[in-house]
Formats: sequence, C-alpha cells, structure tokens
Amino acid sequence: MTKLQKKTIWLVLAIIFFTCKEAFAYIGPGAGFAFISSFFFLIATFFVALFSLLIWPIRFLVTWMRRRKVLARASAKRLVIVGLDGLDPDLVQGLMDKGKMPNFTKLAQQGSFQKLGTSCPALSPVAWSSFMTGCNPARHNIYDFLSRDPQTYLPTLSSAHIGPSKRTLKVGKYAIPLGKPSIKLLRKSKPFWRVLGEHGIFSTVIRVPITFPPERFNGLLLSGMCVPDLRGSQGTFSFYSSREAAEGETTGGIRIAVKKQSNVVRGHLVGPPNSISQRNEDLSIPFEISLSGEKARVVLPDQSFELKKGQYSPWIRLSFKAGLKITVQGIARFMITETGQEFNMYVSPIHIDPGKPAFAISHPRAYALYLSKLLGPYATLGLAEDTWALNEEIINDQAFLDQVYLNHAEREKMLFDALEKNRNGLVVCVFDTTDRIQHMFFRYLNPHHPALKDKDRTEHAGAIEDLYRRMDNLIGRIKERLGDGDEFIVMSDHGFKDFSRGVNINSWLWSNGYMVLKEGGCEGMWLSNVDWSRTRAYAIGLTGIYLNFKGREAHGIVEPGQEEAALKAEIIAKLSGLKDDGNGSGVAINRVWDRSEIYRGGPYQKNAPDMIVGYNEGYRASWDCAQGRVTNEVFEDNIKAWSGDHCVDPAMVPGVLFTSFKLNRDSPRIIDIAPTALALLGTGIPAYMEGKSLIAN
Amino acid sequence: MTTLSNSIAFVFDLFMWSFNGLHPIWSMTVISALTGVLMLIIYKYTSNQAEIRKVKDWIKANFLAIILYKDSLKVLFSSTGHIFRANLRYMRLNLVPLLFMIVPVGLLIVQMNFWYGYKPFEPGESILVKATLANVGDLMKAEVSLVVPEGVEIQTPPLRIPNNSEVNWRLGTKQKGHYEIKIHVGGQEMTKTLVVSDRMERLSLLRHASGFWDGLLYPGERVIPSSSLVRSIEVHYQPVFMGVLGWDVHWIIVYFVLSIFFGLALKGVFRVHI
Repeated sequence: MTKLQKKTIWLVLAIIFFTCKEAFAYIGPGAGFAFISSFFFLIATFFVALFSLLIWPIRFLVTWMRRRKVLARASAKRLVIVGLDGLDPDLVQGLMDKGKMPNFTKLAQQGSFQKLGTSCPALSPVAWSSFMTGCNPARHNIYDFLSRDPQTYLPTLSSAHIGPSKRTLKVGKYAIPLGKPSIKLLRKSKPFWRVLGEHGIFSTVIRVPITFPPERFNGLLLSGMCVPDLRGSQGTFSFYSSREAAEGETTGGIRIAVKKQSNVVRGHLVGPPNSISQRNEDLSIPFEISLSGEKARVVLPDQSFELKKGQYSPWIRLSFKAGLKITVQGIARFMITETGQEFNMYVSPIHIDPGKPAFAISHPRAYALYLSKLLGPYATLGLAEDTWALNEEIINDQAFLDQVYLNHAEREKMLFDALEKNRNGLVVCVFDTTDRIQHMFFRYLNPHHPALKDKDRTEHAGAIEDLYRRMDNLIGRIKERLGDGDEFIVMSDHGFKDFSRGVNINSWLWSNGYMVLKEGGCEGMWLSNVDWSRTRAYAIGLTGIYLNFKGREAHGIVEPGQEEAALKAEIIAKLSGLKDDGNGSGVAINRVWDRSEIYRGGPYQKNAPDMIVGYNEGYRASWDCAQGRVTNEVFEDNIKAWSGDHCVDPAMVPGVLFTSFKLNRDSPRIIDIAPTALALLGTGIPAYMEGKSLIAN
Repeated sequence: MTTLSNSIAFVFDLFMWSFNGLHPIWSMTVISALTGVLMLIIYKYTSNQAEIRKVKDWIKANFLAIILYKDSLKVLFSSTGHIFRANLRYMRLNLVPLLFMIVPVGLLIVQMNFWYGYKPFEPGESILVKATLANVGDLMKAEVSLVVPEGVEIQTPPLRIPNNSEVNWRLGTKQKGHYEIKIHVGGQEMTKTLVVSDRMERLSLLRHASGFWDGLLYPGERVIPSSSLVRSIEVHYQPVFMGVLGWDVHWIIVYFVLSIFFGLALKGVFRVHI
C-alpha cells in the first residue's frame, strides 16, 4: 500500500467519523469480527497474564524450595548444549589450524576441545540415547536404527512402536478406530532433563534424536529423529513424472506417472493410507499444474501457488479427506525439476503439520503449536533431510543442500527463541545439518570415490568446508547471546569417515554356510528367501548380527550355551580382519564384538544383537545388506551419493566436545555429558548413570 | 443517493414480503446469514489476508509463550506487550476492509431499522406528528393546518414552537390502514404516510427535503421539493424490541450476534482469515 493510499484511507475515515449524522453502533460482521477477535485476545491475555502474575509468587516459592539445595551447588545458572550431529574432530581441527573456525578456536581457548568417545555402535540413535541417559545401550535399549521381531525376522524401528488403535468399529467401507493409535517409546532409562525437572530446573529440548514419543517432564521438548511422516514411514518422498515407466516404488519414495497435455499436468498427490477405510487405499489430493516456461502454477482444491523450476515452494499445508468429515493434515515442499518436453516434480515426504499434529510431537503438545505460530510451518519429520531423494537422483546436489539449509534455518530460529526465553535452566538443541550434508557430500573429500566416477568433482567440492564454517558462524552467534553464569557445550555424537565400499554380511554368512537360502537363491528383500530351519546367523540393521537362537527366534536352531559360544567365537574370528580382495586386500572389518564384552550391567542386554561389527574406514554395511538382500558378492562399490558414514569401528569416529569450562580429564565419553550437565546445574548424579562428571574442581 | 436508497428499499421490501406473517427472527436469521457471507467475501478480497494471518499467529504464539514459560516474568511481560502491540496492528489491518463494508452494511442497516426498529401504530394509539417549516415569517401567525383521512383523528390543535420552526399535532388512530396525512402551509400541501397495523411493516419515520444524510437514512418517501415551505414531516413511531428466547432484545444486538455467528461459522468454507 502506497503512502498516498494510506493517507486517502485515513482521510475517508476521518470524514466519515466527523460528518456522520448518526454513528451506527455496529457496521456489520467485518467490524464485528475484528472487534470480537481483538477483544477476545485482549481479555484472554489480560486474564492469563493476571493469573500468571498472581500465581507467580507461589510458583517461585515452590520452585525455590525445590531448587534451593541445587542452587547452592550449581556452578552454572544456565547450561546450553548444542549438538552438531556428526561433526568430525579431525575436520574441525584441520579447519581450526587454517584459521577458518575462529569461534570454535575461541571456545577451545576459553574452555576445552577434545575428542568425544562415542557409543558402540557409533550410530546416532544409540549415541544420543547414551548422551541423554548417561548409560551404555544395555541400559537404554537402543542398539541401532532397526531392531527385529524374532517371530517374523522382520526389521522394526528400534526407538518407538507405532501401531493402529486396537479396536475398530466397522461401518460399511469404514473401520473407525475406537481409541488412539498405540505409540510407545522403546528407549529406556531416564534423560537427564527429567532429573533436572525433578529438582525444579526447567529445560528446553529441541530435536534431540530418540525423543519420540515425547515424555512428560518439567520443560519443553520438540521430538527429533524417529518422528514419522504422515505415511507413518521415516520419510517417503513422491516423484511425479511424465516419463513412461516412471510408476512404482523406489527406495525411500514413490514414483508416480502423470500425463502432460500441452502445458497442463494433472495428477493426484499421494498421501497417507486411509486409516478409517477397510480398503487398503492411500488418501490423495487432485492437482493441476499449468506450465509456462520454467514457471508453473499448481492448483489444489483449496489453494494454488507458484513454482519456479529448481526452487522449493514454502511449506504447503495439505488436507487429506479420509471420509466421515475426518481430515489428515500435513505439510510438504514442492519442486519442479524438469519443465521441457517432459515434466518432473519432486514432493518432499509429507511431514506432520505442527499446527495440527495428528499425534503429539512435543511436550507439552502446545509447544509444537507455539513454534508453528511463531515461525510458521516447519519440518517435523525425524529424518527431515531427504537423503533418499538425492541417493535416487530425484533431486540434485544443490536441491539437497537448499533443502537442508532451509530446515537448518528453522532450527536456528527455534534455538534462538529458546535462548531468549529460557534464561535459567537447560537449553539443548541438536542440528542434523552436519550429519546429512557429510553423509551426502563426503565423496568430494575422496577424489577416488566410486560415486564420483564420470561426475563433476568440482561444483560442490567445498560443501563440507562451507558447512563447517557455517557451524562456526552459528556458534559465534550463540555465544553472543550467552551471559554471565551461562555455560556452553558444543558436541557431536560421532565423527565421519569415507564410505566407498559396502560389505554384505548376510552374503558372507550365506557363502560361509551360516545362512541357507531356499530354492531361488538370492531373491527378495528383508531376508524373505532365507531357510530359517537351517540358518544359524543373520544380520539386520547396520552393524548387528543375530544368532538364530532356539527359544528366542521363531525357528531358532542354535542351542544356548556351548553351541552359541562356539558359533559366536567362530564368526567373530572369521569376520575380524576380513579382507576385501576387490580393493587391494584392504581390511574391511577391524573387529567384531560379542555383546557380552561391551554391554555389561544392563537390564536390556538381552535385546542387543549377539555381535556388533566394527568396520574399517572406507567400509560399511552395503545397501543390499541394509535392506536384507542376500547377493552373490560380499563386497561392492558404493556408487550412491550417500558417501560418508560413521557405522564403523567406534574408535575411528569419535565426536567433538567443546566446552566453555575446563575439563577434569582427557578422553571424555558421550555418557559423561549427562552427569556433567547435572553437576553443572547442581543436582546429584543418579546411580544408574555410568558416566562421570567432567567438571574440573 | 435517495434513488439508490429507494431502490435498495424496493429490493428489501420484496425480500421481507416473503417472510410475511412469520416471526421477525426468521427474516433476521436469513439476512444475518446472507450478510455474514457477503462480508466474508468483502473481507477476504479487501484485507491483507497474509498479514492478518501473520499477526494473529504472532498473537497466539505470544499467548502460548505466557503459558509455556509460566515461571518467567520476563516472558510474561514481554509477551503481553507483544500481544497489545500486535492487537493494534491487527485493528489497523481491519480498517481497510471496514471501509469497504461501511457503505453496504450502512445502507442495509438503514433498511433494517425501518422494519425491525419501530412498530406501526395500533388502533386507539396516539401519534405525535412534527412538521419543521422553512422561513414562514411569524410562525404564530402563519397559516398551517393538518388534514387527516377517515380512520385518523386530530386530538389537539397545532402546537407551534417558533424557536425550532416546528408545529406539532397529536393524532388518534381509530382503525388499521395505510394513511396519508396532509399539511397545508401558505397554500402549499405536503403529505406524509402513516401506518396503523398489527403486523411488521416498513415504516417511514421522516419525509425530508433534500440532504445527503437524510436521503441516506430516510429513503422511505419522496423528497420534499426545495421550494416547499415544509422542510420535514416526522411521525414518532414507538421503538420495538425483538423477543428472543423470552428476552426483549434490540434488533441490532440480534443482528450482531447472528451475523458474527454465521461469519465465524462460514469462514472456513470461504477460507477467510479473520
């Protein structure tokens, strides 16, 4: 609105006000809407503020009573922990040495910088669970992204069980759930912010992995890794293409064929399965796209928006109608990747809309809503950065980076809001940006990486250095917001190494006679063609090997006791130091651990894989192995963009630990962070925690 | 303006005719629903929907912040301040659609007031008629008379108030009907309608000479020519209240509640952020 227009409006208003013979008490719903809304907010604010003010002295007194002992012992008024998932100490040191990380350098000079011993295995869900509980996996029950159901041998999500409502009412074509879906956290033990809460210390916890479903405690928490998308998966993109034979499922996504007629494309957005329909059908939303050069207008039933080739849309709210007036709300980003003869469009996994979450993704539920009102829609999916879309070459390197940094910007705003509002307690925020970009761009650090064969090696060669420098800048901006009495920890759960060669443990077990396949041989996913009645061992997940144990697995044949011990010893001996003949006889596996060696004193040791594989640098479980495919070859080149990893021998991938205070010893471990946080804020350290405080003096 | 107002009156009369004999709440409900929809549409296209949504989200975020960070006085005060400031901004954003709504809703309310605001005289009731004259010299000596049709009687001689240039009569009604009373001044004759009825009808309170606001607010009868010695003729109908759930409520309150209700109920259908 121009200044002239504004002046005109004010002039007209003034004329009406001063010349109107009879002022109407009411000039219609428009004025009424404004008046009512405004009045409602003012009245509600007044009462909430008044109520808060009135009860504040009581709350203050109660909190002070609970905190008075810990306040006396606390050496920090507030503790801020920033997790940079996967930040590698060697890369950080290298850039610090070159003077490219001034803020990290200052922090190290002020306090300390050390390598942080990670969990075994060195996987994010395991490591972050150890971080928050101060325990080894035998006490928190997370050993991998995936576990397995010993009755079906199928993989299951290790951190949470998400199932439909147990009872339904069948009416016609509908099966109406009579109750909430069952969502259960499988991580055990107690995060340290719950301990702080018990002592009256308030925490804000943002996107720490393995916090879904959110637990109740004295503070605010937004769940991170393992929050599903609207389909219930850990991230399923959709790709709409006019090319023939585009239809079908692909890893991490769905390909949908659409018809392009002149410059119009019509199709249906694929949504979540209809949870109230008895038919096995997906919900969908029709769309029509009008193309004009590199621009497009997307028309949905309730909205339309513009797209430009190669640029993401903002988050678009999608309402899927399930029937019976039930709608399921999600958000997604759209990007057109081709607009010439053919048409291609990428749609991100449909995230749960934080403004109207289908189930709780925060504690309290209102926290997700609060952030949504404050920042607009934001990524809620646990693994929000769509690595599969880049792996499957649905989007390119630049589109992936754009997506990751869009998510990162949202996370930064959440953290800065928490820093502004929570000035007396704990603030924890984990950024996945560092992990995802290193996974997908590590190939540029290895000029011989198989994924770079016949590809441009220069365009994104600096992606990782740029990432690290951005993180340094973030640390600088956080430090500017810290005050007296604040302590600061920057940490990562593990480091990173190159992943050039894949090892298929199942293929190795098969070729060495520990696994037997049915007729047809190497077919199917998720070990579907395994003859369980003659199989002694199998691998599921990224590092675990299980024995087909009698009495535990549905078709177990390995007897507990001597046979078990002998079989384990045999496999460990053969796999430890396994050489890769296709790669100059390099060692592919450093060592394999018997679970009883590394997981001691925990009630959940029985849920651990029987053996854990520690791969050498450059190696990891192959893509086929991760998907339960048995192949003729044990080793294969990794030609995917996902080219860096940390699922190796944990000794090779420590994380980083920067602190604003001096440490009392070298070689800190990730399980030491929780006790350190408790000690800084003055509470005692519970007996179940295995870590030790790192505070000097 | 008078022509416009009269045209609207004609359409409105037709509309109200379809509710003839029904309780006024029925026609009021339909009018409220229709205006609710109309105003929603006007609001949608004349307001900055994106900004309104943003401001409301900001208000809600700060409101939630007070609840979520209930132990922090700093958050309490800063969020309350943000809410008050955002409310002012919200009100400002509403001014533009308000401007666009003033005219149609103002015209509508004028019409509604003639139907819902007053009741016709009943047989046996007394009526006060007031004529305002132009400069006729000495009012006390001026030749002013009133002629009433059968069914209406003059109960008092004219009461002249020179300071206001007014002449008043008290009339009595004997039977139902639509009447025309005639005022004679200095050889000129000017008429005014008068309704005696037990039903809801459109009533003209004032017949006036030309004038912007009078033309807008009292469109029921032809304008008195500017050459006339009579400036206006006013009939004092009794205000009436609407019976709703056993309560007597002013019609504008009923309209306020119903139109807001329909507006809020239908905002989702029309995808309007209010």
